[in-house]
Amino acid sequence: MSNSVLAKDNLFQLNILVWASFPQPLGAPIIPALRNFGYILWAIEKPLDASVAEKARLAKTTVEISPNPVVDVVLHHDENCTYILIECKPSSFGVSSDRTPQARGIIVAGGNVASRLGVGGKPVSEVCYLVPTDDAQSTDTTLVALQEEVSNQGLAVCPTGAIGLSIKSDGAYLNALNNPKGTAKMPSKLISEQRVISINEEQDPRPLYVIPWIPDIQDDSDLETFKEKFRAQLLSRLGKVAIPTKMTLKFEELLDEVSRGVFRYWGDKSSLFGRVLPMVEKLMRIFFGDDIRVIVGRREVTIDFKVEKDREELMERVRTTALPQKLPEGIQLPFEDQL
Amino acid sequence: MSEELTENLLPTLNTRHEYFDYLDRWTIGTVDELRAHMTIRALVKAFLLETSRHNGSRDVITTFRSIYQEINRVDDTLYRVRWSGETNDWALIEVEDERYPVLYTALKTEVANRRVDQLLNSSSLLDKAWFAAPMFHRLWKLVLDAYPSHRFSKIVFEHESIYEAFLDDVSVSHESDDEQDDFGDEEDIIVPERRRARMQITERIGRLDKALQKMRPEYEPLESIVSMRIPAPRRGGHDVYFDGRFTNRSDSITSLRQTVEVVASIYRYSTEMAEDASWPQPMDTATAVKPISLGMPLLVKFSQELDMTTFERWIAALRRKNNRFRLWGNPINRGPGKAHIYAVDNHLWQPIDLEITRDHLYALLPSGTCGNTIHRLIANIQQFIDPKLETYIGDKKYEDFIDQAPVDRASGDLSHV
Repeated sequence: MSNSVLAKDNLFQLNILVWASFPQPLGAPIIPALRNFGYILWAIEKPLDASVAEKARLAKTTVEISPNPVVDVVLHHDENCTYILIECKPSSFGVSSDRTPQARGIIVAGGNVASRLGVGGKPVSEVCYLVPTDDAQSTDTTLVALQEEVSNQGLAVCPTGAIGLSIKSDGAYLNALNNPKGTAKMPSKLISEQRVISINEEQDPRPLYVIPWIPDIQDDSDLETFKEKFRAQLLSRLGKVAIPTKMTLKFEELLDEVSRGVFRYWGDKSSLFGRVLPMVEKLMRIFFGDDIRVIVGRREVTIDFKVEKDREELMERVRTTALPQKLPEGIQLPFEDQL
Repeated sequence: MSEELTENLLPTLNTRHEYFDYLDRWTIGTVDELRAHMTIRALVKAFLLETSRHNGSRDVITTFRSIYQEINRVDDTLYRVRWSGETNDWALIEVEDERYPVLYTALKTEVANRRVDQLLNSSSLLDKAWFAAPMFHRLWKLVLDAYPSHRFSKIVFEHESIYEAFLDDVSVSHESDDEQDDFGDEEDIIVPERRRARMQITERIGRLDKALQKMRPEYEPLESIVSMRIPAPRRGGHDVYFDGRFTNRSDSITSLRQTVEVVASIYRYSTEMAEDASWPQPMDTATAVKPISLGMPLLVKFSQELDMTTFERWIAALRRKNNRFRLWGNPINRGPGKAHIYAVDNHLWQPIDLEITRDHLYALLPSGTCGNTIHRLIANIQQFIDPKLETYIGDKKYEDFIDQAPVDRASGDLSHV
């Protein structure tokens, strides 16, 4: 994947933000640029649901505003109890884009962040979009325009800003505009660009992916990490089981483990079931083929281990199965309990 | 495995007191007699083991019974262990802590080691404790504080750059990475030319400490300690090995057990603290009003850049099922000198995510992956890749996790040793 494509990849963007907020020692190859300015990771894929009263108000506006947006990352700064709501995007977008209802929704959520995050008190908030550096200028302009639109509807808003992501021969950087239109303070820390990932020439800047998959992943995203993490998790489960036994592995448990527990945070799982569970089902079929010891269902796989040899053979299959470059997709029919 | 005639099996006694009294009597004079080649009695050994959770809990006795060991209770925390087919017990197992049982035996070293290895190989719920150099540094500080400088100790340093080879050796077969390749007699084999050091120093602790302070900065393999003798209260001492073994070379089993307890205490604390720091903590994001915790990464910085051949041979080894690191994964190439491996432990079957470059290693431990994976990884890197490391969990030095561990339940120091 070329650096220009990688900078647009929201999985890469998200993982850069995560690593930029991990505590690291001085001189580490990955620099916690955001943490160094006092920002800690508060949440990932955080639902920002509106209250009934807010929903009623939003229903009367003349512009479309998502009442229940989900934001990719929330950072927190102790000073003034500030929350930064960050959305990762592959590019900038205009005020007539289909991304605007979500953007307006996040800006409105930022205007009422105490309620939306359930933190109480009088916290301060900002909304920032992370985009490739070349798109930061136009993103900044769009966000300011949307903020004004929302404000004109009589709704509380919060400052906005754009964060740029660029990849150079020595690493991946976060940066910001010199004279932005948006008034968010957090990007101002990045005017002098901050390196997050250090690499040697010709190395790939990708860090270990803490989050290997997200619901709104782009079609051309790199999912090799997801596949190998999934393989390791599957081997881990097969290796630990006491034999003889009939073991049932629930796909959602595997996904939780593969994503360091983040899968379970994704609030609106019904929208995921149509994509991710069929994908896992197909992955399982690729791993186990038509092996008679394995029954692959739509939400789980059941494996019948009679003797140790069953384990050895199945683990060898999992180790050696070549997975397709692109993850399989599928259309999910309603589950029985949803009919 | 059941030998026809296993030497030094235990008699059947009734109480804990009788057993340890028996081992004490066994021990008295043994060291001197061994030195004079006058006895066939072996030294008493201890093995600090670690159990993993199964269905949410740890159960040492059930785990041992599942691997064909006959277990009989002596009291609430002490059990006799009998090898299937034998008429006497070969070991005692003390279970003060279900996670860290201690096995005691008087079998000869090679028999005892073989049996413990066989137990471990039979269960993915059992492992040894693993002590990296910072554990020995902590013990050494305690020794210096507790004993006068004229007492003797012994330290063994060992490092072999097993993935290193000079250019004309790049075709060296992969068998050089087989486990259990020891530093035996090399007269009849051709050994690839590479960095290999093993030093054993027995010296008065005062002189040894002064010498080490001067020698360490000059020669990195002296950072890779694999064994240390902790002096006993009166004479002799207890050898502590990197893989959780202890050998009593004193005349007191009581003091051996004290040493095991001190080491176990440091190990328990540092492992649990490392797990707390590195594991993601589950929470309900919809209702949580505190920050998400994804766990902190382990960072190991090498003292010097690995050469490309060494790096490539190491990565290639991790693709094989049997390697020193006991890890398996499909490496993802991230350009020259950088690879990602979403690996799984070949014994405990616990996953671990690794970024390896020529300068560093990052590891992310999923929740539930035992903290001893960290200790083992660091011990192995020191022994086989680079003896001098800087290691952190998050922004905290790995040494801090060891140095802050209490060593005595009662007083927090090692005054009884």
